Formats: sequence, structure tokens, C-alpha cells
Amino acid sequence: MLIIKDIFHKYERQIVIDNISFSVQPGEVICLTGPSGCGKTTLLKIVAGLITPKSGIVENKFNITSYVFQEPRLLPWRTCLENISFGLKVKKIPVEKRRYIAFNLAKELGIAQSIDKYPHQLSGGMQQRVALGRALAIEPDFLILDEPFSSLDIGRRRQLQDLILQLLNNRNLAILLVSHDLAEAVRLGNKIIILSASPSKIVYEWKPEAGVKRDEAYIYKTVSSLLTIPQVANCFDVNS
Amino acid sequence: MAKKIRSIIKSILPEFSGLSTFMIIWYLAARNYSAVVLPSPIETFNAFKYLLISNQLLTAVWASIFHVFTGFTIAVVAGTILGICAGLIPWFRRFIAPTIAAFQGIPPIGWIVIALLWFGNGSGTSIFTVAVATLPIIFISTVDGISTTDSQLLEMANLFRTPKRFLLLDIYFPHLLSYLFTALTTGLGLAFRLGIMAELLSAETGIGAELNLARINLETAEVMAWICVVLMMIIISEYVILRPLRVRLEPWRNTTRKV
Repeated sequence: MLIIKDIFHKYERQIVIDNISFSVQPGEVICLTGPSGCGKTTLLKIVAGLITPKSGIVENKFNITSYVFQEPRLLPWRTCLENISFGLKVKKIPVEKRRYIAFNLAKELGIAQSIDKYPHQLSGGMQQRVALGRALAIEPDFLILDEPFSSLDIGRRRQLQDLILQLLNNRNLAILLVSHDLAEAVRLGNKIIILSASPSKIVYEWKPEAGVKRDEAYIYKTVSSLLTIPQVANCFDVNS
Repeated sequence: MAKKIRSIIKSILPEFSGLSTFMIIWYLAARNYSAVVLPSPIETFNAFKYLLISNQLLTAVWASIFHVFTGFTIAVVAGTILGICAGLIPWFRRFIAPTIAAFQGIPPIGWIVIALLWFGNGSGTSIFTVAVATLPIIFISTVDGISTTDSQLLEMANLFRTPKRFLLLDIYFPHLLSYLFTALTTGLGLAFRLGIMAELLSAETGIGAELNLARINLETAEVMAWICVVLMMIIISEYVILRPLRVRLEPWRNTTRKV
């Protein structure tokens, strides 16, 4: 599991993260959401160990942590298959096995027909699938997603969200998802943590009722009811 | 077949007509002067034929290729290694940059004179001149290539705990290649020009030496023929060596976007 305790961080004099604590249990999907520029990415980088916070504890007890960025960040000189197997190559897994794992993942992600193409030959949504494949190839038990669908249109985004839910069924995977899209958070999250803007603070936490089916109607209803809560509305600036 | 040839001709028509116009102007101008001052294209071609038959041509071409490519290879190897180090280690970059800048500032003729003093008459002078004069070009593009490597890709690779050697081979190097190819093209052109200039002043062999001989004998047509040979060598090395090499090393550049 992941434990984040009393994280405090600032850039020079500006406080960006003020006393945030939460945890991620195995198999759980936690969504961090909040207005643009509220320090969500900084928080994720702290979780991933790319940034050391000024104070607070980060304890990551997951075996393998993987990361998907807002941009696909694929190697332009490698084919999709080679991009998916990037992490496996780093782990020195033999090429045959690498190809086998990557190909199976490509099938699961719906990009099997494009595996020999280079990233620039693919659309944004396809590229993001490859990036997802690369993150999953090393068989993580913890996946960090930093607004991975934010540059996609609503149809592509929906497809990838469904894909994430489907992937979750086949694996024991914990996810920490950052999104500024409340609907996306409600659709995917076992728990939503809403953060306020600079400095980033937890203003509200929400959990779906157990066993409820999250269809469109439920998602829209939940999003609008969340936005009627004064703290939440304030932090997204939607009350005026 | 005939159709194919026609389409090839059509595709190079602007270049072809440009060159032909130049040849015609050359031909017309040459009619007003003696062959010692300005030989016509035909006289130049005859001189070329003579050089080819008498075997002078191939001997000189091989000697020049040896000088130019040895010198240039030294520059590429040293320039790339130093450039990679300088690109990765800021301290080293600041350490070496002024020296390289000074090297670049020294006029090539200065290098040739120094080389003449050190190596005397022989191959050493042209090899050395080519190596030191082209090294800064390779070095500067290597540093540029390394330092413009996409930081987002590096961050991604770091999250996969990619070892340094792997980073170099899989991320820095492929990115570097595109910078290096431009430098190789300009560098090789410069290498030929300088190598032959150095030969003219120093060597007993090579195109430069033959040029010098033709000048002494007032064989202007031969001088022209040698100049054409140099031009052909530069063009051939770009189209026969560098471009195919690029296609082979960077296959991803030849694909177009199809969704």
C-alpha cells in the first residue's frame, strides 16, 4: 500500500502542497481531483519519488509502481511494440519473451494491428494506449495516472476509461489517478479526494455507495450534487 | 522502362536545365579565351579522359579519399565522444568549450602551416588539418544533440529505473543521430575542401598535389578536370554514403502518418 502523511511542499516562497495525507490500498482506485494548476502533478511526482517534499512521509510498499503521463512520451524512433516493451528491455528480459508480453498487451489494449507502426503514425488516443501498455508491461501492482486522457475528445476518453475498468478486472491493480474532470473521477474512483488550489489542501472526500452501478445518469447526478457542496464549488470556482 | 526514365528526367528537370545553362555559358565564354585561361567544357572533359586512362585519376582519388576519410573519422570519433561528455557533464562542457571555440576560430590555413611544420610533406599534414578543422563542427552538434534530448522522455525512463548506459543508447543516441547527420554532411564537404587544400601545399599524392602539378605546367584544362572530380566526390559521398546510411539508421523518419 501507499501511505502519504502530512506532505508539505513549497517552491521558493510559494506553498504548493499544504499538509496532505491519504493512502492507497491494494486494488483500490483513488482519484485526486481539483482545479487546473492546484499542484496535483507535483503531488504525483512526490508519490513517484521524482520530487522530495519539504516535509512529510511517503511510504510506498507496492512492489512495482508504474506511471502514465499526461503526454504519451513514446520514443519516436521505436515501434509501438518496442515502446510497450521498454520497461521489459530495461529489466533485461529476453527479446522473444518481451515481444510475446507486449503483443498480448497490445491485443488487450486494442492496438494489435498497429504494433509495427511508429508513434507519429498513430492518433493521440492510440499513442496513449501504447503508453498505457508500456506502464502495464512490467506488471505493476500500483499505477499512477497523471491526467492521461485530458488531451482526448470525449469519445476517445470514454473508451480509455472503459479500458482501465476492464484492465482492473483482470489484474490486482491499485490506481492513483489525477484528473481535473470530476465525471472521470466519479466514473473510475473508489474514492475521490478533492483538492483546492494553491496551496493544495484536501477539501472534500467522497466514496460511491457500495454496489451502485455507475451509469451515465448516476455519474451526472453525482457530479452535480458534488458541485452543490460549498467547499467543492468554491474550489472549482463554479458558484458565481 | 522508357516511361520510368522519362519520369526520372521529368523529376530532375529544374536541376538539369540549371546545370545545362551553366555549361552553355561556360562553353560560350571559353570560345573567347585561350585554353590556358579558360578551357571549354569539352577540353576539360578530354583532360578528364586523359587522366582516367593514364591512371593518374584513380591513384590521386584514392590518396585523397584516404587523407580526407582518415582525418574526418578521427574528428567524428573524437568530436562525438567529447561532445557526449560535454553534453552530459556541465562542468566538462565549460572546461572544454573555450578550447573548441578557439579551434574553430583558427583559420584553416593556420592549421595547414602548423601541420606543415609538424608533419612536413606527406599525408600527415592533410589528415591532421582535416581532423582538427572539422572536429569543432562535430563537437558542437553533438553537444546540441545531447542537451536538446527531450527531458520528458528522460523523466519517463528514470521512472523505469533505466541504467545510464541504456539511457545513452536508447534515448540520447537516437536523438543525437539526427543532429549528427547534418553535421556529417557539412563536415564532410569541409573535410574535402580542406584536405585538398592541405594536399596542394604539402603532399606528393592526392588531388591537391595533382592540382598543384597541373598549375605549374599551366594545364588549365587538367585543373578544371580535377575540380570537377572533387565536386563529384563530395556529391557521391553525400548521396552514396551519408543518405543511405541515414535511411538505414533512422528507419522511422521514412514513414508517413497514416491513421
